[in-house]
Amino acid sequence: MKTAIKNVLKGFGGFGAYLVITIIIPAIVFTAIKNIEFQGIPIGLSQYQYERIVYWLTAFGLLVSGFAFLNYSSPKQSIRKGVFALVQILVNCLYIWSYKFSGGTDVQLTIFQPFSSYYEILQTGTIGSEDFFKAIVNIFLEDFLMLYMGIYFLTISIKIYDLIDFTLNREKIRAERMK
Amino acid sequence: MLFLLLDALQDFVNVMGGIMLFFYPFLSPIGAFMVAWINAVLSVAPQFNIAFYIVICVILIVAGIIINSYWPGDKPLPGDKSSSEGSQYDEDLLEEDSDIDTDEENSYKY
Repeated sequence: MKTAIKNVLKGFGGFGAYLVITIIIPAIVFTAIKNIEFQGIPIGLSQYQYERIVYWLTAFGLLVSGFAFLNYSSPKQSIRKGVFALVQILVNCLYIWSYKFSGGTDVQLTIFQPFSSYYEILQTGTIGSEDFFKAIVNIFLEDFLMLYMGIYFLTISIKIYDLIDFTLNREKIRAERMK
Repeated sequence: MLFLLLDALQDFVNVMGGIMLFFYPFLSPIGAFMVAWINAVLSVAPQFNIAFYIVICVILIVAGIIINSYWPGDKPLPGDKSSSEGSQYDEDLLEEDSDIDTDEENSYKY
């Protein structure tokens, strides 16, 4: 029973870590990008997919964290751990890819600034002009994402090797763990 | 010095480009395969239903707790005498070691 409690606590540790890495930090970053200001000039983030991005990150982040719980709570070098680690990596691929299809890799910043705002404010105290200066900045992170996908493919290969190793050397691993 | 550094960087980039071109025929199908299976899974994933993912996450955690309470991984495999009788196993190993030592001693004598 003592081992079971230890395993579950380890699982919750992994779950919490992945919850922070996959949901909380990206959500904070995207919210910050949405509300960013540069030298007093408001940069209206024309990111209409903001909610879509946060939705997919939260959805797959929850799945990744759930499988992280199963992975970290499993005994060391067990077949169970091998299977859950492999599934976690596959779900991680979905999570990483969700950045692309939700639009998270094509961040577009749009800057709106009234042409005559300062003059009109000084003259009338209100902004009446409809002429706006507009600038659009696109940030493409797709290549970076593709590199990550390549790394994940290698990680999948390693996890499959681990699973085969744990299965073939099951008795030896168990005997060592019992010592 | 700066121009030399730029040349060195240019060489480095050329080498990296060569490696990438060499691996491109292998890496490209791998990338296409990854994208294909991920898109297939994502086409089935429910959209704008966060409750579905929360329920799955809770199910995974509860399943993990149940699995660990029944199979914590601290019991030996059925029929595995060596791990269930750890002390006996160690004693057997010690005996084997002592046999080897005596054999070695005898070989030195001869």
